[in-house]
Amino acid sequence: MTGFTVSARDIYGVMPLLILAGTGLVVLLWDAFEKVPTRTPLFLTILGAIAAGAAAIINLGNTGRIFNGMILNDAFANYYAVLFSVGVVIAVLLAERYLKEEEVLVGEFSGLTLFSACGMVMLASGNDLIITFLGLETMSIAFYVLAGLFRRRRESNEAALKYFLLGAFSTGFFLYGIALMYGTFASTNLDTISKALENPTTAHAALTSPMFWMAAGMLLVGFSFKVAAFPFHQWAPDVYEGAPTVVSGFFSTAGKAGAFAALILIFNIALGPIALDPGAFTKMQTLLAILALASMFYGNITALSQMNIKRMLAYSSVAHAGYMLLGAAALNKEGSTSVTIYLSVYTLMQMGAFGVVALLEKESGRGLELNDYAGLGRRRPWLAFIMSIMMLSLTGIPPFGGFFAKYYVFAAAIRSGLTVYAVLGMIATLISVYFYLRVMVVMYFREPEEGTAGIAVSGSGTVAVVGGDTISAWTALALAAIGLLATGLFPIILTDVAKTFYAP
Amino acid sequence: MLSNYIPIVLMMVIAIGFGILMANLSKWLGPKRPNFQKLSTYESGMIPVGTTRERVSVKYYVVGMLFIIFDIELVFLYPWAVTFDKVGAFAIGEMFLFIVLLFIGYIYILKKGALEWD
Repeated sequence: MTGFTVSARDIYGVMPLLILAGTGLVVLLWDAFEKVPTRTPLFLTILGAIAAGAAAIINLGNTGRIFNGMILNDAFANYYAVLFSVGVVIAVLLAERYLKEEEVLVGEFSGLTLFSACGMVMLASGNDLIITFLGLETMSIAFYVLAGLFRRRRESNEAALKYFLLGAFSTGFFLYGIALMYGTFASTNLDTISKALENPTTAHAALTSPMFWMAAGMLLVGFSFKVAAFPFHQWAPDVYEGAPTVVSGFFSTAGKAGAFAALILIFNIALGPIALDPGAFTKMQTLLAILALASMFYGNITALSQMNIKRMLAYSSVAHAGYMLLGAAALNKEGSTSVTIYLSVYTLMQMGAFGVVALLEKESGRGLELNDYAGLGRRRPWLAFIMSIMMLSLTGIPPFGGFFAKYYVFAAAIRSGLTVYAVLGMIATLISVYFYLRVMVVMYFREPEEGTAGIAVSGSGTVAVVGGDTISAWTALALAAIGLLATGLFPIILTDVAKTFYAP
Repeated sequence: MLSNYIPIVLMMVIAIGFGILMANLSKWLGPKRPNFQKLSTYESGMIPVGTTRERVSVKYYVVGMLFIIFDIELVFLYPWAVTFDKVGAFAIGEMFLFIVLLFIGYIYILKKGALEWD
């Protein structure tokens, strides 16, 4: 048996991961020893997430492969670590009041959020399919529990069980994909796979064998499930509707970002040399692009008829998974950069939208219908304003970050020869304008109906508002809105980040 | 490539077929002379008491799950205990880290009262 040692460089390289995991353990113990539940665990979680983000930024000066090439510690991994930390901070800020009102276990929420973030960091820095699998599982198991956080609410239990059963099934596909990948290349290491594809002899042998395509397909099935892309999206609406609103926001942003990070690492970076074989390259591109188109059209068309805001956002998240898959379908570094930019902006806007929904939600899941938002523009102008920013950005209308995110994704697709798919994707975007703008129309141009006490009037104190306005929730919303404006007005922020990221 | 797996498929078919055959052979060939004693429920020779569909407290499942976690810890400890002098200090450190992590979990479930029956 060869000796296996860990150097200080290895430990520093996984510092963000260690900080997140350590904070998670501290938070759990803190919660266990507390007589009366306080908000300290949430505070500790924010501190831990900020520390992890800082550690990731410091790590940029110390990049390379660590742990015998198992883990990637480069600009890509650290960028995503920062993104996940931002996601955790926003989720916790939004959750503070929401969880207290719903009597959810604060310590468990904090701990599980941090543990799932650990899994995401692993996904974004996995240089070996085994690490990717480990990350996927760490993230998903925490998510299954988070979905069922409302222990006494039936929808929440349904969400958790549905997510768990389908998730476990899709993990099976993913694992089988890894096994077949190992069968093709005799290695699970992404560097080795990449090298084998650069060598014409081994590449030809791999790309003509059905085993390789089965492996790629199985991995794609596993990822499509986690990002809720079209044929594997059925869990998303039910889970997002049943889970606590803040948690749904976290699922659909940070969770999606984690899965996409690993998808890019495998399909765009490790399998990147597939471009040397034009036939196989087109085949793989078509595979991803068709999934992308199906997700966009299905998500957007189904969202048209949704009257429940959370379900509408769930279907819109299916469509957004489609846009990102189209960027990934470019199968080159430009494609992966565009997806990264998209994810950064998408995290802000989707989290912001779910945040507003959480603030307006009333006890036991009422106040989530579109009609409940009537008259919001007059009674809660600032909240309506923030919601409008999120909706416009999700549509992709210029002054906000969403426009440039879509621009880069479609540009990457067109430049890699997927013009037809990009044009069809833009048509799908046009469909989405209807249901995003409908929210604004309801908020500003419709009066609440008699008898259905709109959310707007509940401020009087007769009906308990679950979320309620707090400084922390407004901080999160302001952060998201300012981030969207900044990236929309100065897209150079995004491109600069992207450039440093893939500096040779 | 995938044709290497044909023997495995063949073996699965034979195994399943053999199982079905053996389970049913006595039913097809054996004489059927039932009486009251033969048809009554068998419970280690005792007279059966109560219903089989008895409901169990949900706490039983919590304790059961927690048991499995620590059971698996033990399973991991066995191969480590056999080879720890060969794999060096790293493996010892790693195993202690693993035990500490599980111990934190143990403190958590103890403090949360998951092991209290009432």
